[in-house]
Amino acid sequence: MTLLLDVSFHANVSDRWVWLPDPSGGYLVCGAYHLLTTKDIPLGDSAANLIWHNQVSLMVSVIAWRLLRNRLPTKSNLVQRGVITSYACLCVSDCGFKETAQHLFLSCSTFSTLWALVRHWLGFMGVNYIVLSDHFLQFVYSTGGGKATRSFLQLIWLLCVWVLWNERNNRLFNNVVTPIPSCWIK
Amino acid sequence: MLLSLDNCPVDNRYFTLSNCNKLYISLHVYALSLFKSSSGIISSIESLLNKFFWGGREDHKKVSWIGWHNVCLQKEFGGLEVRQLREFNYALLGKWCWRMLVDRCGFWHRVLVASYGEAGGRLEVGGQSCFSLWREVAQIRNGDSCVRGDWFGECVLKKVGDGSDTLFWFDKWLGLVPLCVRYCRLFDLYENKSITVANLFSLGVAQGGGVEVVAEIVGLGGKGVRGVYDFTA
Repeated sequence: MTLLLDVSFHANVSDRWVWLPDPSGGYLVCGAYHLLTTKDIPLGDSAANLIWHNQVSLMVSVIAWRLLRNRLPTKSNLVQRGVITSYACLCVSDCGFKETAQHLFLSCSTFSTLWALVRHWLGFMGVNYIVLSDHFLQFVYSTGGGKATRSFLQLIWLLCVWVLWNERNNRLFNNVVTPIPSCWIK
Repeated sequence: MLLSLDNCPVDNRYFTLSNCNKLYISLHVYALSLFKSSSGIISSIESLLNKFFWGGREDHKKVSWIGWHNVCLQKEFGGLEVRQLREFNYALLGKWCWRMLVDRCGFWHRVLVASYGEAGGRLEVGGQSCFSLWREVAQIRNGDSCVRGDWFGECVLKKVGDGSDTLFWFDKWLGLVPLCVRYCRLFDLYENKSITVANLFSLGVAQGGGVEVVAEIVGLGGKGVRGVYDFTA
């Protein structure tokens, strides 16, 4: 009851209800929705945040989102789910390896030449990391440039992923082969 | 059913992501702010949206590569921020709880007070005979809803100005719970349960100062039950 001794009043100020998450604004539906859907601490994985870029269309972001979660319908993922047999899981570029997301986008001798081309064009060195999210982070942050540079590199990475995935689908389903250098020029 | 997939451009699933949210906005805001959807309805709408998002049709499901729950997560949690219906429903109904607190002079509030009555500064709208909206709203206000427990009650606080519009025992103005909960035995004994903070303090001041307020409360309005000192210490 000692806490009552500290109470002070302000004459001519009326009592009011306060919404603690936003004391000045009061209750907003979007604020309350945010409160209800925020459950844990955000992911430390900042590659997941990099998929959003305001110059990139939503479908590119969704492809990158699925790629970073390894949920694109690559052949090895389809084999895992029993959609195709394990005999049909080889990479479309005839390199003799299983078509996993990591292989297709980073280590395939045909497709991954795109990264070398892009790096050459941008004028910086780098290696292809084994894990895609590390690769994304390294690609965006390695030059140590400012915010504008990072945003530009982010855009390039997302576009490369988009180009590679489309080229893979074209080769697989339409039998149209575009050499990787001309993919880049396009 | 509200949604039909037959007329949708199902071959372009990426286009549909923004459409998912647009459909929500156009169809649900009004309905969800007036009714609590049953979990059955919410899951069937979500199931339709899920099929739509992954490029299927109403009668033909395609592989859901990522669970709908993860698609709905906020971006910083690795999702695409498609709206979660159940939580959105609660957020909209919560607005009524807020209006019950701040819009007490409104006509709608006076009508509700007239039809359902008021106790301890709160509308008595929890009964079975009550219109379902007010019953659901009362559940949220009282912290009985199944999402996140007492999320509403934890986020509101009465800020005392002159104390004339704050109920000493019922409003949450001092500490994290109302005083009638925190000192429930004292509250049971106190006579004037709906006394305002200002009135209670003026009683104390009339008797000579701040400390007298405490004496006024523990003396229980002159009943002289000094034994209660034991549980206020």
